[in-house]
Amino acid sequence: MTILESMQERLLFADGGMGSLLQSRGLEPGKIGDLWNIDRPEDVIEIQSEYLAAGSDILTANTFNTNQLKFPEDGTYSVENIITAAIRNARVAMERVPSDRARYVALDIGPTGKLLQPLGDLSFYDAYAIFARNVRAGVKAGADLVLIETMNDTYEIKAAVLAAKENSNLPVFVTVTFDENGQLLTGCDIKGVIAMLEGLRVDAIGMNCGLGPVQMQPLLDTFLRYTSLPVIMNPNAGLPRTENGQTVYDIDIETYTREMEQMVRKGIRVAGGCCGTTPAYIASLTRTCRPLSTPMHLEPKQDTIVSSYAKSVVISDDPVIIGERINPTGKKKLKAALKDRDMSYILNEAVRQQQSGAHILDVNVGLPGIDEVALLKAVMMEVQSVSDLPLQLDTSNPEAMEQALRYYNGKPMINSVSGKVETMEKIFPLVQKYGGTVVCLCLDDAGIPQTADERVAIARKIRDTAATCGIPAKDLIIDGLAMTISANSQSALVTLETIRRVHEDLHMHTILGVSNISFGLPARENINSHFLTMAMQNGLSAAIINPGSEAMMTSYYAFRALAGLDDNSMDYIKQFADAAPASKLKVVSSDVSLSEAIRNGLKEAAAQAARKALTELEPLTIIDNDLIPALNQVGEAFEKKTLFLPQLLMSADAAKAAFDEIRSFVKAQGTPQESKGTIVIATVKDDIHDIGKNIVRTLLENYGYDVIDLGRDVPPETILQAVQEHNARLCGLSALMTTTVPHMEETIRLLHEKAPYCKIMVGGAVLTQEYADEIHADFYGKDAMASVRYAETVFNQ
Amino acid sequence: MIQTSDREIWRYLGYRGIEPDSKVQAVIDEVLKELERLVRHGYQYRMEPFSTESENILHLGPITVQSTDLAKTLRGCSHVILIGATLGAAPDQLIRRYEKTDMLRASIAQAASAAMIEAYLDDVQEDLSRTYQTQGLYMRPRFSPGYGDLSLTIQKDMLAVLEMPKRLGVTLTDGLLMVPSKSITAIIGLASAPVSCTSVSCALCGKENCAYRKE
Repeated sequence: MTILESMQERLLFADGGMGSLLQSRGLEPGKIGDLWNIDRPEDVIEIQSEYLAAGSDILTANTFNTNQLKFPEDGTYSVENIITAAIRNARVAMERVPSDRARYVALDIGPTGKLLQPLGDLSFYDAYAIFARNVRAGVKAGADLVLIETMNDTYEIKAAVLAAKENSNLPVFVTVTFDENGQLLTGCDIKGVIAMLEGLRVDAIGMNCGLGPVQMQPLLDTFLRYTSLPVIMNPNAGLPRTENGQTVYDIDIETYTREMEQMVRKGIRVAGGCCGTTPAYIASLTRTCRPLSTPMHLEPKQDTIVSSYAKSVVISDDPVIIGERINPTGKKKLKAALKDRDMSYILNEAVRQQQSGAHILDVNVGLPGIDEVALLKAVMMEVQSVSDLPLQLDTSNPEAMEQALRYYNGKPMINSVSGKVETMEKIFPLVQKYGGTVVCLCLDDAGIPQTADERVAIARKIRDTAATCGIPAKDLIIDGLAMTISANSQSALVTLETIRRVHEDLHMHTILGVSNISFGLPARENINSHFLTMAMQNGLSAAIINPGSEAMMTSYYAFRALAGLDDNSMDYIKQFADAAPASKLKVVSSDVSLSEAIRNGLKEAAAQAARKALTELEPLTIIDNDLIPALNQVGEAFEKKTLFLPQLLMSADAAKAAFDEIRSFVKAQGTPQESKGTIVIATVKDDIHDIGKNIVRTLLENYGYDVIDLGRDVPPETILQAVQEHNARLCGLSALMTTTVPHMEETIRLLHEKAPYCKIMVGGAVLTQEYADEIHADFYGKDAMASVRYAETVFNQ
Repeated sequence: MIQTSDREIWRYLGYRGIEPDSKVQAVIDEVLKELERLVRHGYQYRMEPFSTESENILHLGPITVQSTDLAKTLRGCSHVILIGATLGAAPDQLIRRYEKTDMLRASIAQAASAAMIEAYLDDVQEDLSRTYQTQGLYMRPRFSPGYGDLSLTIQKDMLAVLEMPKRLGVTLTDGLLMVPSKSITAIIGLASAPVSCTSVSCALCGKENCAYRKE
């Protein structure tokens, strides 16, 4: 009988803490107990036998810390040997303590001990490989299930789950560690975690470690409210407290048992313990709770949830806004940005839409002649590094969709499938594997139906096909298709009726690309914003719009206030209460000169002054006579320490705004812009501090240089490659730690040897002139301005 | 809530002798509020016996280190507190977002969160100090890996002994830097006789060219 079958019949009991028991047998703090599987197997077997005697049905193999980062060597203490020994020990314990009940050994997978990119330095790909190796070893050693536990980062969880599912057929259980507010380290809430894990089709989910059962109790309520899966609870024996410098836990066996009993009555399916719990706790737990065991009865939940690493968004009768701006169709600037891989333009769009009130962002990079597979993944990952909103992955290329789904952190929206069998055949298996909420277009091989009847029929067909692939209707959002009324005056009515009937008859959610409705008409916002209101009145759940449009957002907030979706009109008030003063500000700053605007760090005013100057003067004259001199004045004051970094950056920002105006003017005229020179900059290998380097980049760009920014933790070879590729005459390297300066030295040696034409400037908190000389840098920049000055001498030679 | 001092933020931003104008201060206030809303802090500590094997080989409970500078700070101590604290991932996430869109705010978020984690540990230390004083033990200034000649390699042991990955979500990069980056580990001496101050003292550190050195 498999564990999943047993779980149908009865409540299962896990074991409790291991680390502290090993420590009481002499394991030193800070040392890894997994080694005892090989060095002192008897101790491990004895502890696990005690848990079996206490009534545990699941033994967690002693492999929490085992991975190739902690055990990189082959031989005695290889990952495979430790895992094999651990599972053998558990089996030996089971032989020693026989039982009539079926019992199971879990391959225990803990966090890698490193944080994944972009926060840390471990890539998703490498994390996957680490977990996959453990899973393969666990399968070989005969584990009955994979238990992924004590996880606090959704991305690492996803890597582990994919590794488990792609390298075994074992059931996968996942327990995560929340703080008292019900959040993971990266900020994800309970709903978001559940959405992602159910999307990934794991078999059971729950919580362990971090908290005691008392603190977990309210979190469990939320858990049970949202999940359709069996729930596992392995709390600590209370909250850890340091007593005489040692960790102790604050609740006794009685309290623990009472709290666990309550959880069992609420409907959890696996009960156990974590840090601080011992066989005595588990014995008391099984004594009290085994009599409460019942066959499993789970209620499928109907909530539609999408998530990112930090946020969850519920799609419901309260409509949400999906930002449409990261989609090149009809957007010249974005097209250019995608072709040039100008991420900063794209990321600014992401942040702007979030600030304007979007709940989800659509990401579409489809352009003819572009490598969509690579680009969608790259843009998606960049957007996730600056915005914590869930994303809607938007591509018609199934391969691009698969890559994006694999690397997405959370549970995304998927845009889209239609009633065409081919799209469903390609996309539904991906949804089943990675999870996601799918936009379903009401069209099929016969085209776009002209009646609501036919559109609803297609929605039904898609729903039924999805069901055969194990995709529930709650994960489908029906697009009623907004078609322009300029071609057919009835088309809005058909769309609205489709929305209403899908909502009322099929009880499914709906979505629209709203602005299509007005294609070909003047003053489109008038039509769009009113159509949005009408669609929401007919039950629209999600609107794909430009959240930067005041008219659209006005419709949105006004509708919510009128439809009883905005308590006390709080959101509406927040949005519009201080609407008036904003326009006043603009008027005040209108008559400032470009030079003044830059010196005072006034962004808007600088852009405005630049626009005005462009009507009278040559672009180059403006740069040479106003822009650069103003920046220089600020730079000199910074050097004299009469003003400081923040003002320097404010002026840089203002200068950038002016520069952007000049650039787009020049581009519009069609004359190619002359660059003052190309500079490669990077933070050296192993160093993850890059704010200083980024400040340098900002200033260099404002002085008109093309800066190739390679980011942080960059190996010497990559820097050399970039210098050669761009034929760069100057390279800037940053290091903040004494420990990473050797990598800087190594990079300099390599560059001097292979690219002797390139000058190298260095900077960073630990560097000094002497240090820079010692490692043969050409220049030491004590601050960001100094690097600008040096660039001027290099390129003016 | 952690009381982060404006003066410390200004110092991290490089201000010397002048206070920021009202425009910059307004941004500092905004960013600080944002951080206060987002951070989720925590700490872990252990008290361990302290002994010396030689002039510069020190036993901090289960951890053995070599450092003349740390030996100076711990002279006369019977115990040490090993402590780790963090503001969680939110400051890094915020700084990262601003770095792509607004360098002014990025540098202010960096400075403010650096000041905030120090202020947080100051608060924690003050509480611990009171507790230990009742037991007749007095705290020395805290000393962190990377100060003076205390190598960063000790971070591996510090994080392991304090179980920081599991308890606080704090991990090390290959280059031995902590992520989330707004995290601190420190060693605090405990002695039966009081010394004058318990705050961080730059005078103890050999890095005289440090940009943040306090006069």
